[in-house]
Amino acid sequence: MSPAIAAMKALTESLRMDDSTTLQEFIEKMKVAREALSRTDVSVVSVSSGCELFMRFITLSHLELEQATDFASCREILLRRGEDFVSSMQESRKKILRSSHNLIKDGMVILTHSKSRNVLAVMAEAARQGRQFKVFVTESQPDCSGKRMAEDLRAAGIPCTVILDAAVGYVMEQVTMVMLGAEGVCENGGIINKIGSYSLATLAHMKHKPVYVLVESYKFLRTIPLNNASLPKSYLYKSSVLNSDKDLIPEHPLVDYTPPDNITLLYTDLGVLPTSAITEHLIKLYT
Amino acid sequence: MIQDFEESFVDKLRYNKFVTEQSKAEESLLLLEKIVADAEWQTGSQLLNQLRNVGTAIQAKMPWETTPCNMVQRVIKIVIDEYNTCKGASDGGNYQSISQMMFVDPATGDLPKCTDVIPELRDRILEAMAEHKAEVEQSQELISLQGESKIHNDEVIMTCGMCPMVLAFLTKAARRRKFHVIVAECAPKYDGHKMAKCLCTAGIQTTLVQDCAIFPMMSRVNKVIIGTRSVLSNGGIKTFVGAATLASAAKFYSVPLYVCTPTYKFSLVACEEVNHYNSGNLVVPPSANLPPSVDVAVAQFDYVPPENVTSFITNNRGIAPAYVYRQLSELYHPTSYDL
Repeated sequence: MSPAIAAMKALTESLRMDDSTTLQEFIEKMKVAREALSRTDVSVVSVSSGCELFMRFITLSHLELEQATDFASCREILLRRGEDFVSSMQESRKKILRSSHNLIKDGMVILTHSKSRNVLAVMAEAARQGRQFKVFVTESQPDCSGKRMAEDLRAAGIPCTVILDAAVGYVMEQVTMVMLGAEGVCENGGIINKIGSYSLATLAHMKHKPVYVLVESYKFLRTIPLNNASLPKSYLYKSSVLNSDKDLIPEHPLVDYTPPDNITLLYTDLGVLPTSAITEHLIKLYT
Repeated sequence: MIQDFEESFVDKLRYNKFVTEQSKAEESLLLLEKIVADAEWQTGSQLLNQLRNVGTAIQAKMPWETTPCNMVQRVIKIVIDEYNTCKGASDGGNYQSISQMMFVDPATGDLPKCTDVIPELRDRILEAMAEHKAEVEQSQELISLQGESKIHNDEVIMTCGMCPMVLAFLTKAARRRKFHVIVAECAPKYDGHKMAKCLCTAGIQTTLVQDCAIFPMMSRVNKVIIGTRSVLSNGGIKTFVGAATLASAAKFYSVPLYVCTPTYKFSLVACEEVNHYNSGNLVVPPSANLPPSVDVAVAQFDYVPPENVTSFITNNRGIAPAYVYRQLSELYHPTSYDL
């Protein structure tokens, strides 16, 4: 289960066990719950975007809510919508598989970065359908998650090679396309992903290789970072590091921001979107 | 009756009896109208299945014919919309499903279930289809009306080959503006010659050049205007051979490339690398007696990526390639994307 879905389920549980009698109290409690969940060491970006979208979705103004007589029935409606939302989001990986079923063709050489469950699922499905392709995975320091991705790929019967992060330029000429996951998608279509994605995507774009990003819709964020330096510290470093008062200068950031010009298409559970479509989907939800 | 009509339509497609894409669109709309008016159906779902069968049959036999499939998709959307309007009027629409409320949820696997029998559905669908048919017939006129605002005096415009849309666009603009047109002859059909003749008759100063002269002449050109066979869902276009070179040359010299296309050419097909090949006789006559080890490859289409296209000039407005997805969501129903 992805951390964001777990966080959304935790929020539903707290909604179920909530006993506030007024709207104000309820909003305060939910805010406290969201902040507690965001102080995690794992995928802060997707957890915070998932919680934000969850709260936004259940409180969308709507006929039934306006006609509710007291707060308890209001809460019942919110709970029901929350459960609908979470179950729909749990199906998102299957929908991504459906929208990307023609992506991988025979004879392709694919480059991917670090470990992404979406990319793994799409590649495993293509291998199951009998397509022959090769994969290069970057080692992705500091946690070497690329090696775990390679093990999973080999278990699915896909020939893959782990390469050094520094070897991306060397390998790029052999590659047909780049597939990435994402921890968050910004409003302008750029992505926030494991450190190293920016250099990979920029190089791929320079060499005219398509860059496809496989991401669920609950990772859409309402920010537009201007550059890598303007990413908030809560995304860049683990919260344990931020809280421990260590000097941040020698710390290595965990994520980087890839601007939308380097990305060709986004394969989401809402379909295949160009980078210009993200803002429209966010607007639909927030107005 | 309907079967015969459908078969004769598919035969005409196969043997290239249609002269323009517009005639293809109009004839496929006739076929679909017949199906709605005369076929045996009671519920919306039965009609949708029949329409879908027509679409899949054409796509299976001739995957490069996107216009008839686009028309099928469009009629499917008309049917679903009319059904929802009829139902919504009687229901009073309260709690919308999650997908309608939050996002449009494509490809949930199948078309929506339209199982209620509504007597006035047939007439309403036929009415909406007649409106759409009028729009298709007027598209050339509507596009050419935009010529005046897009072309200025003393401009040099480049085009390639023959396209009735571009011809109408330029001749209408020529009534109020004075400009020069450079036409590339566009081998192997050499229909640039016909285009140059038509433009001259309209009083436009025309120069006919060879295809290899496109790059050297590009530095002197202000705009490039072309037509297309179909517009792909990522904003790229699939069009006549020679367009890719033209578009790359235009990109190199930062010359804007406009594509005149009516809305019936917007298709849900994604970019494919597979090209379809014509017979080698087009380029090398059979009397040339080439040894059998020589393979003659004559591609039928060229793909121009969305980065090289500046804007699409359609019936009502100009659309940037990055916003083609929005036009598609207006034209077609999201659950039919998978046809």
